Amino acid sequence: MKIALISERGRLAVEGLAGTDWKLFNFRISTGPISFLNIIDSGFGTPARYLMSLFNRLLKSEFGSTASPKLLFNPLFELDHATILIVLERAGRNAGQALPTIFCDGDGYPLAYLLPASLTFSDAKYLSLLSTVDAVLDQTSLNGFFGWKTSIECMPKVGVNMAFLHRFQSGPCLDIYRWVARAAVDAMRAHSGIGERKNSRLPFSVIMPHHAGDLLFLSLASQRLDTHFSTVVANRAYAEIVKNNAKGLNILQLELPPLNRDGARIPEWKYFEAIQKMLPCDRLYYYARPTRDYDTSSFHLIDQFAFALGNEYYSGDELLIRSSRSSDARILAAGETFNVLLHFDSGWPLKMYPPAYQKELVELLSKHGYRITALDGQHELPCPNVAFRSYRDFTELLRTQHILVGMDSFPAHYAAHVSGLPTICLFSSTRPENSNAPRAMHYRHLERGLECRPCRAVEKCPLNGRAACNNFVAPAVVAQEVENMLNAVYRRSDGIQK
Amino acid sequence: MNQKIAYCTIASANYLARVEVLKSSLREHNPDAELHILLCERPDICRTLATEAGHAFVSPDQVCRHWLHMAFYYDITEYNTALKPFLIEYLFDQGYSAVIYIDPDIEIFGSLQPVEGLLELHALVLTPHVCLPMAMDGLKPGIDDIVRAGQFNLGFIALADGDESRSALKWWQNVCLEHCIFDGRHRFFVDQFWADILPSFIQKFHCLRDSGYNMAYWNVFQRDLQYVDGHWRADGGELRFFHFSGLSKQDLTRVSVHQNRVTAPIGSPLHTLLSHYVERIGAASWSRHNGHPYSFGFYANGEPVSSEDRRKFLLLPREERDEIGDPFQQASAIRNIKRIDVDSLDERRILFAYRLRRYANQIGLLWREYVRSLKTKGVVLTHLAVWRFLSRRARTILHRG
Repeated sequence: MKIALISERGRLAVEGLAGTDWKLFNFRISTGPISFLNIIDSGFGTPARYLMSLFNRLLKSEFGSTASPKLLFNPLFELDHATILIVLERAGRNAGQALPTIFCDGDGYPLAYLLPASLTFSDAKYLSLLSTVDAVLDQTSLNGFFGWKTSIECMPKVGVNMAFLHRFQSGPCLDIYRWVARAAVDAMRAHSGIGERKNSRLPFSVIMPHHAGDLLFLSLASQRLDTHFSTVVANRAYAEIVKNNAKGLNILQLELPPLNRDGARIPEWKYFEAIQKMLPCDRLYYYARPTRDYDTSSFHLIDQFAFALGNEYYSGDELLIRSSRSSDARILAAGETFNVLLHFDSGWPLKMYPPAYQKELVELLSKHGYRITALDGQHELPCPNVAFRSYRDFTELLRTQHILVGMDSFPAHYAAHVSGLPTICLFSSTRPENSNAPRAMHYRHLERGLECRPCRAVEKCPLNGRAACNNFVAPAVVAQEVENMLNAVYRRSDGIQK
Repeated sequence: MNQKIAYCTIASANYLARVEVLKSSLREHNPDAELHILLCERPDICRTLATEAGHAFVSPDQVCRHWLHMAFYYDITEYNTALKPFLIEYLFDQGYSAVIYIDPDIEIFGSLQPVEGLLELHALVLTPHVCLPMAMDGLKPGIDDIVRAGQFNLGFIALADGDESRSALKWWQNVCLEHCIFDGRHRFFVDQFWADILPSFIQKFHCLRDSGYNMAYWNVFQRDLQYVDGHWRADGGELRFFHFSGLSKQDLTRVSVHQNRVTAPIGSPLHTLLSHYVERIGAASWSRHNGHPYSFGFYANGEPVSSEDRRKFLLLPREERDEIGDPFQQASAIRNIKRIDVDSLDERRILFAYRLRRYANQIGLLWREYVRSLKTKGVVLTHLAVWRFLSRRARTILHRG
């Protein structure tokens, strides 16, 4: 039997070289190196998605040899040693029968899933739809997905010291996980009845309602992998981003304003309560926003999304962000003036370049004779301001520009990752590794590199008490970098650099 | 047909005296035979000993890419036997058309030309432990021991290169990679357990039942050993080689430490044979390495590698072992691995132990809090607080009652 456990408690080894051939794999959710045992830390990976990953890895470890039953410990929980031992003891009793079993504690929380050897790589995606918080619901799901007769073994004496695994601590998402599993069961019942794997025809949809930058990165991830998802559930405001940048993903539009863009700060799970009523019961859903803590991970959002979409990473060399290309040098017509687009708006106040800096930067750039335009400016600036009306208008506008100076937000990410426009991205309270473009001639990110980021503060800096982040670089630095980049990227058609 | 045949053996430094006897006796009776010696020691030690011994040894890293991990998770005997299929393939790859493996504790007494001849017709030649039925009389070895140890004794194996042999070797290597262990519970008897099935995989197989081959404590009671006209004979025929397995040097009449079925009275042909062998290994120039410590017996920090550490490392999945890297450098990481024996797990015991530990932790916490309070608040205030706490608890319990 192959056993998978996400554990930070050190290695366990199970005796049994013959007979049941137990092998216990201690996996880790890693913010650093990626390997067979270190799974990428993704803010968009639910516990069930990690369950799928555990299964895939066990299968890979025995690829080519005899298949064996698999015991997957629930990644949602950090189980104590005694609980692990008791589950192993129970699983040992059941191993010979090789029947699917869910081991749960007295409150019905699944502790581990014993899956038969017949399960294959193509079945793994269904594991990502389990609730991981409700054994009875998961029993129904497994029976529905695979036509099994899954049994439940309740162990009322264990689980008392159960704690959430660090990755899943924040965000009251348990109800959402439960909803995802129940929605899958309902969809199966409504469309094909339970069992017999008839449900493989039901399409998979990934729920990612907002925001623009997230949907851009999700779309870019879909370009670089074959995913089992066919639809993205997103706010109407971002539909064009998905349509124009995703590969093989349709959009299911939500007729709701994006979360927290209307001034009201409501929690993610409350927002989900509103949208779940709008979702049709004709597909299987994966909720890709179980936490806002994607910045605990050092990995790029493209890779974090790719994991959510089903991609498995076995080494750091496989990271998709590394495969991005840099742009070539561009030609500027003789006598042409540089157009500089500035975008200072962002999701929350601390991510926005301070108004005084904005004005100073415009003045410094004007001295160089650049033609400056502000995009969606919220403050009075000595330059023309263009509102962000639509995706199409935005992309048209980019074609007329020579460089974009932006925040850690959609315009800068689009310019750097998609259009290849020279871009300078100004980071403040967020983590550049999560959204940076690969280092290239046409891309620079600027920040002071303060150790207090990412702080997750929104309105005010916890250190200075102001609505301005100390990590922003001064306008003079930005202006100098703009000049450097323009000189590096563009060559005049007369052959003389500016 | 002209075959290019390699003779080989595997040993660690402490067995080099025996290897020298094998080498010289082989050369004595088979002048053209060249003995390849795989020395199961660290590669740098192999090079040093090669210089001292004047013989080029094959080192483990030359024959198997998993040599380091195997050296850790197998003990000295397991390791020496596990590398056998790797050495044979290595010699095939060196251009030899056939390989004859002989254990280091064997002495050659006659020509092995017949075996070389067999290899022209057969791809695999093995010698059975016993060639006659045995009674179940409670003595050691019994037929049950023989069956458990394997039908054939792998102190000798002859293989000719070919598709079937290569395929069987690959399979043998795979099982020897992690399963070449002594484990009575699972019937594992190092490589020998697995090699029993080789005749099923190789069509051209010859079972060499001649009494002159691989005579040892497990069959000596079924064969007539004589010394006639300066030659050793078995059942009237020529004795080709004797396997001194488990030799009891302190008491040669015991023949082997693994048996109680036969004795070798002083003056008997068997005792004479054993005595001569002991004299030869004592006189061997390589006997100066007898006390050489096993170089895979210690961590890099000098601490000995225990059999528990070896087994814990073996039980880890290969991917985990790869992540650890060189286990000889990772003493604490290896010791921190918790080994779980699923057969001995008991839910009630686990829960009891777990609760005991939890209560012990709580008592420890209370004690530390008490000591801290004594230091900061003084004796009177602390004991007053304790008294108040206990009275409140008592009142609560009484109230409940």
